[in-house]
Amino acid sequence: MKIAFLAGDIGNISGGANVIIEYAWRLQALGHEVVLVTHQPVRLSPTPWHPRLPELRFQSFTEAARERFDFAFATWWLTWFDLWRLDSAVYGYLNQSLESRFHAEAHLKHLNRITYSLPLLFVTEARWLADFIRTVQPGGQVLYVRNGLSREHFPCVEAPAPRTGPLRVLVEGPWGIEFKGVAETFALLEEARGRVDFEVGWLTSSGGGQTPVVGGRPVQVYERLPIDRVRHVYQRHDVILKLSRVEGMFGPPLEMFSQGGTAITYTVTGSDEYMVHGENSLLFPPHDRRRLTNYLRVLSASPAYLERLRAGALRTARAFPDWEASIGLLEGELRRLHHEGLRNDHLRPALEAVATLKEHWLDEVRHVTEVALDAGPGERLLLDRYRRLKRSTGLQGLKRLVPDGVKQSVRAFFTRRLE
Amino acid sequence: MKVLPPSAGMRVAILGRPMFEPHVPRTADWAELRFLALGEEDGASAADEARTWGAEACLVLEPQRLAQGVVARLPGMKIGIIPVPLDGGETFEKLSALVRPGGSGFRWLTWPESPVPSGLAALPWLQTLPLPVDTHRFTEGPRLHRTRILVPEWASPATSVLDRIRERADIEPLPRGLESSALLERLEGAGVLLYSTHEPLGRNDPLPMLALSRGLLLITDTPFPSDWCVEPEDEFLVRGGEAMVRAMDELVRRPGSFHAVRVRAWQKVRESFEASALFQRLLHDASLLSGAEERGPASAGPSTG
Repeated sequence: MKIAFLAGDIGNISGGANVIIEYAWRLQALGHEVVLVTHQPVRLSPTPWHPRLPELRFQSFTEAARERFDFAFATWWLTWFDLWRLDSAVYGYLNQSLESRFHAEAHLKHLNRITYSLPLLFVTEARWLADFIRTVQPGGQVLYVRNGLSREHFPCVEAPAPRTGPLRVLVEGPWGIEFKGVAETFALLEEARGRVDFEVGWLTSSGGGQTPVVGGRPVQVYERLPIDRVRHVYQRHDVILKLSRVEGMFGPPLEMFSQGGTAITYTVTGSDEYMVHGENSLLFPPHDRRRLTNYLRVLSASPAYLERLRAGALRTARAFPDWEASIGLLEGELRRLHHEGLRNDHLRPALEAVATLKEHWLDEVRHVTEVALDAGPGERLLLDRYRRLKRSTGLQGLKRLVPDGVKQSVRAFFTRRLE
Repeated sequence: MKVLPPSAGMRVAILGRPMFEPHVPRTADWAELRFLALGEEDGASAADEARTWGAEACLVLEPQRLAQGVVARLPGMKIGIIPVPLDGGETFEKLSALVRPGGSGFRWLTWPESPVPSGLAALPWLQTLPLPVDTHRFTEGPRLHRTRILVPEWASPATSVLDRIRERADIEPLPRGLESSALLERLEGAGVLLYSTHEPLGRNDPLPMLALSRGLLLITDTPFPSDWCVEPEDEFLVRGGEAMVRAMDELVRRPGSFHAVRVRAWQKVRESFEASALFQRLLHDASLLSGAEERGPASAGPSTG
């Protein structure tokens, strides 16, 4: 079968990109012709964050538009509006989260809701999302395929490693994305530090130039690690702390389980896919965030309880399907649908119409926002010139030459100066 | 949310006024549960019933309503759940007197928001616990075809706003003082709740949360407390005055406009405010932290918020 995935920023580390890469590479390995279609050429560093990235085939929309696909899947929600540009027998949506929740702006939430307006073939990784889609779009077909645990990058350890010394806590998440809750997590740890002793590490795809301090000591930062090195960081810690408030079905706690650690998270969407309070992990709702101190105290003071959670976590990881099983399930379903002659290409004009509306409508919203901006004509002119400068070919070329770490440090420096 | 039971199949008595019944799980796969209604008397008969039944834990909603002697007669671990913030003075003193070591008083308490008042900070607070909802009483998904509009008499938007909405759709008033079963029946038949208040939403009135749990579209002029993480626009709508009229207008013109919001409302309550899971975790943590405290001063103690 010939399958296209429309992808956003896949060259940079994210859980969502990891899922798309696993889908694409494994379907390709099963003998299918798979392409990743992106707006911008994907720049791969000599040591890409995911080792399978160089093995994938990328196309621009212009190139992909010349081909005919059996399945074309949108991934990140904005790619849904590009589906019509491809010629495909089946239009699908690999939906990893209700992404309207990523945005505070009402107009983006409304726009995101439109991506559920047509009865496409939906593939999703979480039960809550499958239920959501089936209810709001009963005309669509929904395949619930749990994300696999990579046995390649996260092979289960034989047993949780013996531990000594203070509790070792690993915070996970990028800086600067409010719903990921990383700044809030460090604030809570600082509060807890007065009552319990622990060490802190921070695993992040983007540290924003920050080095948080807990208990007067800067935390150990592990930033932008290639995926095949992440397990070594997990192994150096006892518990992963991830206080995000929006998730589809998050991977890091499960990856931590495979390395013999436990997890503390909010009762976030998707946590029920594999976390059980008191068996393999500890969960609490955001309105009770100060309970974190109590949990850290118990884990620190009661090695037996910590060992019980770690053992339960490892059992969970061992029993969890790997990517081979997950994609095997997906491929079986796609084959079945293909042989049954599933087609929904009659939806292409509707996809195009909605995309056209979105472009025009968004332009209007942008215009209205700019008109509403509390700035005079001179300030608007300056802002406009600044934006044009940012988009200029010269500056874009320069940005490509500068390593990401340097860019982040420069950004953090100026942000601190201007705030 | 899944929670490992503190001890599988334990007997848990839940004591409270009948109005709290929709907030208490009728059954659970992790325990034997029994709701014992507290009437106008001092609760002695409910305490005796819990003892006769052999309850291993007692969860008491509004613990300040019980006399010390009645609390002493409750069997097993005793946890007091305060569903609505209390005023100070006499109530605080009464509550403090009910917390006693050695099993004769409450071992743990929960408060519905954070932080607890400074006058109560020394008490053994186990969790911050807003009043949950027993979602298992209505397991079907949201009934999106139902569109009736309810307005509670005690939280009604301004008359001018209601008049403008009435030009577009019929509105049903929700009278004060309905019994729980009647209230749930009214919610069952509705699709929208219009609600106006100057207090943080849901703090003193469980109706907004009950409405979400049934998959109603909640349109209100005030958000929930921010740390409840009930998400505006994705799980309910914050619209006051003319904006509320516009939202109703949109809904009347296109009844499916906010189906996604209603589905997420229904899901959110199950994710974060589901009574069975919250009570199970409450008992797990009570036993975990009690055990840790008994092991010595270095171990875990209660949070004072």
